[in-house]
Amino acid sequence: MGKYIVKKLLIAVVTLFLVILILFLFMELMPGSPFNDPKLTDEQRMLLEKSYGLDQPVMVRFFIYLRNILKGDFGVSYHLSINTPVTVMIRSRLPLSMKIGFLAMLFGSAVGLCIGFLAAFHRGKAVDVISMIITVIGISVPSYIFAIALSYFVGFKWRWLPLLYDFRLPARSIVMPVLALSVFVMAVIARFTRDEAIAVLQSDYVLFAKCQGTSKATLLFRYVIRNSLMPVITVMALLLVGLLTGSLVTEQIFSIPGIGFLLSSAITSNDYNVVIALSFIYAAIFVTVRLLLDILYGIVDPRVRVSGNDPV
Amino acid sequence: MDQELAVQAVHRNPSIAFPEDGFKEEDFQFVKREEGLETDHTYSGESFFRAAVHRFFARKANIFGLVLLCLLVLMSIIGPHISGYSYDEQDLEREGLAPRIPGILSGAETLSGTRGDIEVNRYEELGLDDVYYFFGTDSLGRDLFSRCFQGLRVSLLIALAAGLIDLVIGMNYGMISGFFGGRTDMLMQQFVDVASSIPSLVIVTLLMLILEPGIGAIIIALMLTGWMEMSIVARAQVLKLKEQEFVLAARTLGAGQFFILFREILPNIVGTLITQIMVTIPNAIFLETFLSFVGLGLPIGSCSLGRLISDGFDNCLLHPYQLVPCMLLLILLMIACNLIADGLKEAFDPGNRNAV
Amino acid sequence: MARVLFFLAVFGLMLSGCSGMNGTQKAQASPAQELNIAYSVLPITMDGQLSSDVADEKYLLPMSGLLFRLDSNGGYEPDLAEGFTVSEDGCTYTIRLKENLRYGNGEPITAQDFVYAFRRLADPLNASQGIFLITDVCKVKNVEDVMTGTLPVEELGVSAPDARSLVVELSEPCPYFPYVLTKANCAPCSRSFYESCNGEYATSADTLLSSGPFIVDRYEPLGMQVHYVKNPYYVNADRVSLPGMTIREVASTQEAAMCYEAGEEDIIQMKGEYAALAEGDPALQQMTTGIIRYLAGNLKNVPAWGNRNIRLAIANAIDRESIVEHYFQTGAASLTRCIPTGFCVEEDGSDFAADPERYSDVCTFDADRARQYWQQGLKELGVDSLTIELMSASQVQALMEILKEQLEEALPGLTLDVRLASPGQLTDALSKGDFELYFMGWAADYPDPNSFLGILEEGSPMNRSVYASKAFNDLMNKAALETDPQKRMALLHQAEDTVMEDMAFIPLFSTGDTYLISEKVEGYFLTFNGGLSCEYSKKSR
Repeated sequence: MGKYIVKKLLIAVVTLFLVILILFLFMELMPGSPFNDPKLTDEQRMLLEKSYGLDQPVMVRFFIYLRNILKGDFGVSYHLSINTPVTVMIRSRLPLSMKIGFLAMLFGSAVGLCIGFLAAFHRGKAVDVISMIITVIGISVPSYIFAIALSYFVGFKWRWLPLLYDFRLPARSIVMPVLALSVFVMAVIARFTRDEAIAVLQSDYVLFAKCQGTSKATLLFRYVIRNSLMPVITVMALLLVGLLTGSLVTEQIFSIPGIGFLLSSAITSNDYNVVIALSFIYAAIFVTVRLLLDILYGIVDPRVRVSGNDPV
Repeated sequence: MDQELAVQAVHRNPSIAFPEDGFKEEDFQFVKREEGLETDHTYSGESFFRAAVHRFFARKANIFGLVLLCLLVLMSIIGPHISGYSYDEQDLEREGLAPRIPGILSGAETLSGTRGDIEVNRYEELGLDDVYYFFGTDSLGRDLFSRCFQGLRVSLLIALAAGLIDLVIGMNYGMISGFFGGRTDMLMQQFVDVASSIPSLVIVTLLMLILEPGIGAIIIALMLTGWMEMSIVARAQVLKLKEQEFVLAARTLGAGQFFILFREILPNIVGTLITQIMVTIPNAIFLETFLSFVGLGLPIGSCSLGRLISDGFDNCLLHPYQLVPCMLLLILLMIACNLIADGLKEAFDPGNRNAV
Repeated sequence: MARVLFFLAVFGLMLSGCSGMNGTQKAQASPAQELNIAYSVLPITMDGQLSSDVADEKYLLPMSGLLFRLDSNGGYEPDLAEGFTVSEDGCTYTIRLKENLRYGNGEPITAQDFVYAFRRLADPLNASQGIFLITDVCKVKNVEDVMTGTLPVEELGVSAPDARSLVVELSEPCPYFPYVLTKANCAPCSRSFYESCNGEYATSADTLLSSGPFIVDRYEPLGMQVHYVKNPYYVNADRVSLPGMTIREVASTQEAAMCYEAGEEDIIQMKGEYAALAEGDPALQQMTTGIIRYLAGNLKNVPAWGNRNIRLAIANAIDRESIVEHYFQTGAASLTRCIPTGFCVEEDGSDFAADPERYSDVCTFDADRARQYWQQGLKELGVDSLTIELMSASQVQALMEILKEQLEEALPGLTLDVRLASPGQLTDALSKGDFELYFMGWAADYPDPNSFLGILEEGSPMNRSVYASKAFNDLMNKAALETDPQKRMALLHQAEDTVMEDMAFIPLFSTGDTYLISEKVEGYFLTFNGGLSCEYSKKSR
């Protein structure tokens, strides 16, 4: 077991290193030095590039950067917010994006699980058909369309909730973004839960339990939920990565100061320290979640540990 | 019971004497009438594909999805030519006209002003009596009907490209990785691991900045990010099949590696691969609309669903009709693709519950 | 079962964690009592000295104590200063500060803090984008050597002989110097406070020091919302009646309009086409700002653009009126000269650009004439067709689509490739000269023709088209040294004539801001450059 974990850990570290390298090289291809403000003179620009170490060769810059990342220093923002350390900018945003992501996940999966189990127990009946329609719509309609609809009706027409994020009303402000983001989660989880639960319901041991005269409630809690939850959790974990890192469009629509908005602004204004930092954070979260999943699978299923194959 | 059994039954009947000059045809008769002799479908010699097609058409939702997709494809071909206005012809005079359809919509619209509603009919203001824009016009006076279907055409083109990329890159990568195994597989999978750890959003947006924005850039972005899922699916399928007897048989007969991979294994996994393509396509369409919404989409002059939605969104309080038709088209397209993908998944792989 | 319970417990923890976060952020004041403003822009920095554009000013002015503050009559009034004296040669300004000036944290403001602010502005290591105020707009003594690093910042011509007097030495007279002092770049900066921030100055409410009417209570870089509360130590605190205000960025007019109608915002900035929704509503306020929008090209490296006839053809092929009417709808006017009408007032009270048609013989909409110029230009270049690339910011995509259509239709053989770029890419391409044609806007910093013409002077970092006309440069230099206002204006008129004769750039529109201002708000006013001043306004319930 120890060997397996160490191996997975090593792979994660190598992956992260490669990610940083690729991001760095990619950014080198970006047009322009960060100091391309029209109001700067050539002398100023040279002095600046020197003070930020941009006149060094590429490899030297990369290793300086790598060392700084390990110290938690992502440099300063060049364009978005002049001279502000990137860490300062992310520090205030990440918790908000994560909070909204977590809540969307929580709400979406709670509803999704209910719909999924209901549909599985009433397979082929009206409930199943309705749930299928809901999930197809949830998966087909982009979340920003839900966001637009919510802000129009709930925020503007009915005036129940603030239209835009207001830090004076933090709890009420995040209700709409959470709802808009949770629709997709709900649909995916519902569909997956339904398929899993049906498979469990069709299995021989459930048939046996039924023959023994087990009550419906026991059947549900002891057999169906227990056995169909594990694969569903895998899907949840992967969905969570996407949600934690914020949604560009939803944050834009509700004017939420989260990292999704930060990323899109950073990309359009060529602020490459911010882009690298955010991409690194995204990749780090992604790799961590995958690592945890791998380890979890290793614990649950010894075969994985021995063969070393990734669970697909 | 089939015919042979019926003959046997007659044969064994002891009350019938054996004629000396042997049996003639008229000596025999069927015990039961033909309608009684039902073919058992479970054991019929239907090919795998037939069965899949059969299963696919057995569900109404699948037929609905297929018909919807065909309709959308048809409209993307003829739609831009129906109204008689080209999709990129500007007429600043005629900007912001509401939809007008003979006998249905008059072209009047209600604006929600800060001091109550304002009722206007721009057609009448401009003296356009015999002019009909079915979906209205945008803020540059272009016909939205033509634009919507032109946009649909672009989205479908992107879908086509995404499908091809899946086939050319993803399928081959996954199959080779799975089939050869060992060090090749390990290296190739490590690469996929790393590549999939970079947020595809970052790759795509960076690309859009380096390349000239346009369909080309979107397709390159898809090439870099879209094939991975397909490769994982293809690899898993190959891993499952490569230890089976028919592969062993082919190998014993001296078939080459690539012959086995593409002639023996590929036909057996084609169903799953098609399903995966149908899963990729909505993602690709969504990617384009998303990019356009964030402002990194197609160049000006062209139009796509994403561009239309993002333009329409800017004005949806003022002129909701600029947003609704293109949004509906996108939703219909996504629903059609998802329904077909679902149907194919069940049709090709009825037993496998985990095929996502 | 245990597993299910475990997950329920985890979810529960997450939930309580989240609600815990909510609990700590208690609401400071009721949004209804405060003034809520939505602009369409976000500040790039809250560090006054580093700021440079209109967006920063909107957020900085409420917290900045300025020597002079712009007033409602198009001029300025003393704020932290009592008054100033100018030397005979117009080059040395001595400014006297009021008594008992204090920052928002109660510390005293001294003249030395202004000196420090000027030094930070000029320091090459800060690379302030606002430095053009003391290099181009006015020339502070030694600034050129300081900004290149040849002289230490201490040599800058700004000094404080005592705690209440500030002396600024200029290397040439500058009649509009007090306008420079109304910029947030010249707000005082406390050295001890700056150094206590450890390099994180102006990145949060804690690292911002207010010297003006309001204290920043909440600010995150790029945070979309800045919250201000009244500053009790402000010298004119008795004029401030709002308990606080919130300024937020709402990029889309649509959302801003929704917020306004829902009562969440009191003042919003909006695009022209929405004005139709508020027709006849007294809340609709139209302001003309000194922003001009123009087309310019690389005169040196692009042969086609170097041809005057081609430039004239394009200048005459654009139907500005139709664009103003249908694209901008409100708040814009077509522009066929360098200086917008109603912006620069001459000594005798007349408008510098009183006649908008002054150059109609070279620049107006006339398709036939455009085609003649075009044929002539093509003949001189010896080609049948031309493909020109036009760069612009992606926000004006629709406008570019219109320009492309109009130009290609009017000028047969022209293909206009529009390239939309992010602001970063655009400035990069411009600074490297890597462009053919570009569309840009320019906002005036002071009510003087020089504010517009200055960007065409040879050597100005803003002169992207590399316009190098000896006649024009001579006129501008003469005007800079001329102390008689009337003669100076005559020289500037000649300079504008030269520019239009050469068609160095193609003026298109002058634009303004449209606001919706709730009737509950009183006492706001507009400054000469279209800025909205709400510091002293009142809000009734």
